[in-house]
Amino acid sequence: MIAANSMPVGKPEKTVVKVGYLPLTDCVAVIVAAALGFDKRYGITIEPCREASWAAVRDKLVTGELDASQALYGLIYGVHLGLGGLQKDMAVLMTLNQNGQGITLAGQLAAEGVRDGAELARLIERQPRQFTFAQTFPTGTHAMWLYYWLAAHGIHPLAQVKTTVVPPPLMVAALRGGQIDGYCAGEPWHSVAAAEGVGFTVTSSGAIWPDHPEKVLGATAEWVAANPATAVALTAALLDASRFVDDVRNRDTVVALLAEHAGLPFSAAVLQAGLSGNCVAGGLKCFDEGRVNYPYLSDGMWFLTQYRRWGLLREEPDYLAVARQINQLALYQQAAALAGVAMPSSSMRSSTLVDGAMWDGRDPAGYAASFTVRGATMAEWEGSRSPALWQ
Amino acid sequence: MSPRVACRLLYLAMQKTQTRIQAVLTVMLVNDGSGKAAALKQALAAAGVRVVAEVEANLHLADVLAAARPDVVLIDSDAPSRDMLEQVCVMGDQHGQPVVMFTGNDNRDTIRAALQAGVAAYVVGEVESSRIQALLEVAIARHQIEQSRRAELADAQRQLADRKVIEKAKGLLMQMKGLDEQTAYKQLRERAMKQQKKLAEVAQEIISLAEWLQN
Repeated sequence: MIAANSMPVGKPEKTVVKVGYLPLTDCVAVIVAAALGFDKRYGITIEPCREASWAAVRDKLVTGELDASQALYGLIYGVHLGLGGLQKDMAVLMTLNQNGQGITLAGQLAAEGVRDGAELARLIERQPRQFTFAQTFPTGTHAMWLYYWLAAHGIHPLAQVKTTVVPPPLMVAALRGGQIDGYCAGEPWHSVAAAEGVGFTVTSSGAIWPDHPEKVLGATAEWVAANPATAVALTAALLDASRFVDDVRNRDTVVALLAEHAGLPFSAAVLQAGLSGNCVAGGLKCFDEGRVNYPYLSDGMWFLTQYRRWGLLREEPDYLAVARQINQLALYQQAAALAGVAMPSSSMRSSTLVDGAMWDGRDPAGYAASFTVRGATMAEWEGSRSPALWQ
Repeated sequence: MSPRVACRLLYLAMQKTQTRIQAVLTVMLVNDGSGKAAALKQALAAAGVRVVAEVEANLHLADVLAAARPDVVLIDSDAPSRDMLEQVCVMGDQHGQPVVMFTGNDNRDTIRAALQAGVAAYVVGEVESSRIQALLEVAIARHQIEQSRRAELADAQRQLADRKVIEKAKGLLMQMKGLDEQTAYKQLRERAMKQQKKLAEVAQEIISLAEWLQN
């Protein structure tokens, strides 16, 4: 049997493709592809659509108002699993970037001697006040980086501190106003906090998980099934754009395009800092010869392991089957061939995270169960630490 | 649930809310979008609906919500704060208030998707004050139906899970103590009664202990 997505590439079913994005540094490939005409090479016109919230991105993908969108990796997986309500089968066409996020803490914490996670943990033990940390979407990447980093330092993110969602454009104001003690979000919101002197970046996301997957190009499975050639053309155009963005010789052009089109009202220096590999939040990668963009199954499965860990998934999922359903490996391969991008040798990759744990996708259930800090509540956490015995 | 049952439930729920609705309806307005709220606010005032909280990009939306305890939350579909409401939905508060979304967009599919995602009603364009009361009442009723449907589903799932655990513990007892099925079940039940615990809890303890002994 020939699967539909291994058919040869044909003419795009749609010529105008509406692609959603949020005003963030890592929406850059969408902006560049449309502005520099990489889309025209593959017979499509990308219409970038700026959105106000991830919830709006989700709704518009599901209803077909958007064809595809920049999305948090975990948003696509969350909708596919129906976490928080709406369920719809989803697709990841490619990874748009690795790294480029971070955790910024309030300047006040620095004044109290906090320089790193270990010192933050000591402060939280010492001071009984309520600490509040913000992320950007309940099932999203920033929630998972924040939880992972806090837990790696022995802080239970759902029991010992308060975590909340704050839209990225409001993060810096919330930090300044003292409503939150820190946040995990994407650039440019770390460079902005640093430039305004209200906080300091305690860790880059790349230090939590070197070369972690971040935003993806997402669509519904239904849209991809109905528009496979368009999906391939769109992926190829964004691969070309990603290659352009990662080339340092194009930096000034890319910064100018971001400033003009992405809805980020900041100076070139701040935008530059958010993009550059040496920026405060560290190491944004958009291409790296295609190593960034391949939708590794192990990347998708990692989010499932964390949903299990934090009680968002009550039952053990079929990790590999879910990742295979969502991540469109065959379509990606066609797009990579069109754009002349190398393919990796395996659909799994291996990483060592900040707590020393190794993740290679081989034993997801074992990995999900291996964490000592886990569970949705303090009671569950303590329950997991002292198994019930016959009394 | 069949449409007929849904209709009947809606009717019953509306009757139930009638008594409460004699009091003034209270709403919370989340207003950090494009300012569609101004016209709506006038209509609310004219309809005698009380706005107990109005937040613009409030960072403690969940806290304000918990403190104000409005009957309904009204939010602009283009508000960035929608992601904060998501957090409230995903991370727990199952008894959350009905959410009514207002928008200039009258795309039917969008409305359908929002309703599936847990939005209780969708207000398109301007609303006459005469219609507001009825609209909010339907939203509340719809939300109650959805809550009870979810509670029933969770209950059914829990019962199924409990049964599995009990079956497994029974099997362990039969194997370890050489009992027949009926006696094993009886012993389980006696133990639960003596300890004043649920049958499934006692069963889980036995399974945990057996696993511990085997390792």
